[in-house]
Amino acid sequence: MINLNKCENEDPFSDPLEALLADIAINLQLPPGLHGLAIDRYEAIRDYAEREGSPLEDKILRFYAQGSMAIDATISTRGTDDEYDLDIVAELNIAPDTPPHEALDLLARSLAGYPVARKVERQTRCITIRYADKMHVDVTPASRLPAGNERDSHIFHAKEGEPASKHLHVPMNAWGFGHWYGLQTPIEPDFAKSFRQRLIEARGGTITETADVDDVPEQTPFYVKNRATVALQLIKRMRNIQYADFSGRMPPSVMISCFAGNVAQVGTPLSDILIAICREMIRAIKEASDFRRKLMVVNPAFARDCFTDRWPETIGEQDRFAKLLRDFVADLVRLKQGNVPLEEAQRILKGWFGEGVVSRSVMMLNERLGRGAKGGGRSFNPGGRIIIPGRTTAPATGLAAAAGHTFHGILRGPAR
Amino acid sequence: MSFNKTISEQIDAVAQLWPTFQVTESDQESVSWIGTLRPLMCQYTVEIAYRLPMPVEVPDPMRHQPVVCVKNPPLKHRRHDREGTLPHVYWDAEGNPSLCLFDPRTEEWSPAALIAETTIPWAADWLGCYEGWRATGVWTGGGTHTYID
Repeated sequence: MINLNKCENEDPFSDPLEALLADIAINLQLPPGLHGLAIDRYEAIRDYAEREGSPLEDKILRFYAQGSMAIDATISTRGTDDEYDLDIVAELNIAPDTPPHEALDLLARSLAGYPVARKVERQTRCITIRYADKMHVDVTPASRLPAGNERDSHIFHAKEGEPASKHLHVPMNAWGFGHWYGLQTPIEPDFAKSFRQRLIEARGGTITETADVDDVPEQTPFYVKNRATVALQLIKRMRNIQYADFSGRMPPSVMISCFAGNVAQVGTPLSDILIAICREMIRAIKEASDFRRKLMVVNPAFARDCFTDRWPETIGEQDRFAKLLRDFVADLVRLKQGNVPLEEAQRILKGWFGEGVVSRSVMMLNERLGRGAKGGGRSFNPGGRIIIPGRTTAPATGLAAAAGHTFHGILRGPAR
Repeated sequence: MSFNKTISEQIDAVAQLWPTFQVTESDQESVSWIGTLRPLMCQYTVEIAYRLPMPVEVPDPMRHQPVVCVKNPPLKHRRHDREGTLPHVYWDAEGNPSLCLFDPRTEEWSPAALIAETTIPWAADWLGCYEGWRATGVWTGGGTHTYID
């Protein structure tokens, strides 16, 4: 087991790098206004798909979230800062050996003409519903297998235009994976509370609104509940930025989520867990490449569900990702251990996470620094590190405090 | 009425709160320290020089304030910034900057204050705001200026 530093009982954002990384993740979150909208859409899609007269009337057994939506790790889609991709499984009352194109066509017909959508598209494994506000919902038809674990299923792979001989039944248990991930990454209450408070502040929320940060129910969708999931979001964002101009497939989110679940340890600093997940992926890729094998990661809840069935297509692709991860880790280690001014840290982080989210995070930090200097309320560790509590948290104890003060200076020229 | 802190009191307070600061020179009327501050992710070496007002002198925060200079890494200037090439500093005759940590027209600091509780944490504030200014172009620490021709 990897030994990671514990940081229980500390302000999770007292370290500036921890604060910067958390703020970058905060700038990637699904905006709170879209939480309810996503849930409404999820329910409305089901209602429409099984409406009276629909090809799927009485044939939908269950709708459930999969992917990032199931583990509260949703971030904006590849190449964007404000587009969100949500994934739903539609468990259908059809035989698991239904020809794949038939299952997909059935769902496509049931969603055709969906009045709220800008566009409904049939993909190789799912039906994508696109909304005018740039949200996409991917609905994947599935069929439960007659034996095995709860919700062991088949999904259907049928690329339009390809012969039926290339169509596949793909084993899947997204629900089992979500359940496993939840057990591996339990809620970290202090972190979740501080993160949520910071999120509300970042969105311009008032102190009154932060009253509800006292409880982050485990079942609240979309709210990040632990550091491992924030680290996962940051790795996904990094991947999205680094692969933005790459036309092929990129390392799948679910594979990265599996590494995050395996490495997660409660109370580990965000930067440490981020580095640990990347190092574990580097190790696994190296182990595979050394034997000239492609990386294989399977669902811990259903071994036939292979998360790497479509990526990597070649050993070169996985080595490319491993190099990216090594460079990313080297920069994170430098930021953690080096002597890096904020200006340089910003430049490094922009290279990995993109211009907009990093600029906003640095602006947020800068505003906190100014607020602390002017109004007091911040404290200092013996090395001079500035520790700024959130608007609604108490100042840290046992550290040096100082009154607010008014900087002064001499400027040449007429008074302004 | 508050009494000026003695040099000995200043030295004791700094030693207690700021272990990286070491006295480099001292006598009954003056003291200098050198130490490090790491407000964010970058460490700065800072020198502080302080002289008690003479008994015959009228206390003047402007003249008697501790002089705080950043020795390393060198501060980076920015041309044409509305805050000046470096925000909130005084320049000596050789063109070296020292930090302006309070407005002398206020009562935020006097020789009755402990440097450990004012000057040093305020220098950390300045360095934090300086880093923010370098990264974003925005000085968020507020403050006032005196304009000279």
